[in-house]
Amino acid sequence: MNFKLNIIFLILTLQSSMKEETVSVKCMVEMNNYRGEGAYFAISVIDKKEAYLKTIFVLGTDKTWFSEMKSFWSHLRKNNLFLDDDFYPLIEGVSGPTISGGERRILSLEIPKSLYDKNHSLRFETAIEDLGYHADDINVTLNKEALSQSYQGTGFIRNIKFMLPTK
Amino acid sequence: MIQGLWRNTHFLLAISVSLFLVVASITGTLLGIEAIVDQTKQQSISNLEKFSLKKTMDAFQDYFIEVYEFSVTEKNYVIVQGLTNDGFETVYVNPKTGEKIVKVETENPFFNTVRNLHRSLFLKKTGRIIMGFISFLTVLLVITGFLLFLKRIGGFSKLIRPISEKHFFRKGHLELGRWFFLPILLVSLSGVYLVTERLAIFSEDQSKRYTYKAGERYVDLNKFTLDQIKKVEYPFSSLKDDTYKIEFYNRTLTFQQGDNSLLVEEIHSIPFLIRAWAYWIHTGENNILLAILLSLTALALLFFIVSGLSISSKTSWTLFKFSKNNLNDAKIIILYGSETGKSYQQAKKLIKSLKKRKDNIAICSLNNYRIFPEVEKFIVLTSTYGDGESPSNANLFKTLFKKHKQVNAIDYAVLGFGSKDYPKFCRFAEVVDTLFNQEKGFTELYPLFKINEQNIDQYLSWENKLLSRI
Repeated sequence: MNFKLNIIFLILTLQSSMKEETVSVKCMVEMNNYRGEGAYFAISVIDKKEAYLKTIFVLGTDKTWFSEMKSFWSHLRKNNLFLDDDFYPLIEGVSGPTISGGERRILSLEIPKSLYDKNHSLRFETAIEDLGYHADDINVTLNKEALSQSYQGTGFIRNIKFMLPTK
Repeated sequence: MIQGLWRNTHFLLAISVSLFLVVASITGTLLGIEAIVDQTKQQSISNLEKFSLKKTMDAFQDYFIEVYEFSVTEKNYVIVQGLTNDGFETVYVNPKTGEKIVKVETENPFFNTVRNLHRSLFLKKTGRIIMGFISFLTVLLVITGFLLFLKRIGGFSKLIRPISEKHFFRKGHLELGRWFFLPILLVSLSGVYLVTERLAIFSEDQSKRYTYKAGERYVDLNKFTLDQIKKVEYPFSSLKDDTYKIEFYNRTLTFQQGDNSLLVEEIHSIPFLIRAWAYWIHTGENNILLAILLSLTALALLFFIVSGLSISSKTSWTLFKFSKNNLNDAKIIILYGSETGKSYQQAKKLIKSLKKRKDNIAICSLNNYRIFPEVEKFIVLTSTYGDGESPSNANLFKTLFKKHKQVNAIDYAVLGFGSKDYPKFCRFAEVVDTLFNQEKGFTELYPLFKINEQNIDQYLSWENKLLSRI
């Protein structure tokens, strides 16, 4: 039993250490004008049943606020990721400070090639202290056509523009 | 009356604020230290005014594959978000070479916790309101404290004279009050402002917006230096309607890529600037001297709380107490005038000595002077406050004395406490002595006696002589 687990673990580690091929999508997020603290973001790939396949990017450096992004947080809890010491550094590798009202930010999202064109979607969850939470502030189907347009947010995001690499 | 009111207000404010203030000042000290440490880090650029915006942007162009935006923080860090050979990164850079110094790490969790505690006691919005209110009370505390200080030293003109006070905490309270009055006032005022601003109590920021046609005016990037800049946003793509945006402290410029023609200029309103000032004053994040001063201010606040409690334990608490003694039956009444409580303590000691020989002794503050039906002897113990004025619980005495005429003939003795460091040494005791002297039916039991700096030998010799005549 233990041996089996070890093997699985080994495979998992190997897998994660191998560089997955990714497509980097440039995107510009513009926020609505509101006052108060910056918005926390979790950008993830989810499937049709809203299961989390991959965390692409997290904005917000204070982990105590992660629980405000409720759907993302329950995914972390369900999969025991919220206590995993290795998990946070992984997120921090692709994290940045929050975005405040009226601001814009450009991000470069590294999305694994294998997740494209499979009816998955890219979800932008947002949460702001005292102001609330939006599970699908932006929800875009993950294919090349959808990722070369702009979208209006349903919550704190005013607008998002995507751009795929030209080459 | 007013003076007692100030003192009691100062005391009550201090008591209600002290617990929160202890939290705020301890965390404040730590945050001050953080601000000092942050400014000695390698990514802190000390001479931002020497870097032109144009040259800096050119340097970034050489080092980065693509820049998305860069910002100059309150801590004098230059942060670039963009693509390097390592992918998308947020990094501290050297504006001279455009090279990355180190990756931006998440904030130190310890200081983050301290900051949360300092701002909101971990209670989010409720906590912010509490801390804002505490800050507001601190403003009042500083003002009442300063008024008391002026009274104590005898006026505005003596503001920078040395203070004669032997007691350590008293001296410290006064001396630090003199030096830290302004810093504490500024820290608490800016604290109040930051909370009200954060809770959007004041109206929306109203900036003035001017738009221009392309080609009408141009932005010259050579004109600006990094110290004026908060943030520069780069265009999203090479499309014409994607623009550059430069945020300054007082305005924002949006201009076209390519020919740099100005499209929008926004001038920020005053509240926006006040916020920047309040933040700057409250955090000291871009000035190491200010950060040091702020840490010292927070430590001084702690000292005020400790010394204040130590002083008030002797004075203010007793000012609130009511002693049970029967003034209506008393034949001997000790009248005391006390500001700091020392004369009151002395008066209580005298009662003990007197009670060994006589009964029917009572004690009463000078402000509670009235007709005492059985009284035959008055013994007055009083200090003098500030520039020859009465202590706070004796300020009504003159009026009361003229109003209430005693039934019996009175023998009296006056003892003054004071310090020869003051030109008007025991002046108030002299005033009382003169009043008694001129009053019909009042006879001197023992001449006016003055004691310098609580001298115990002087006091005992007076007490012996007095007792021999009673």
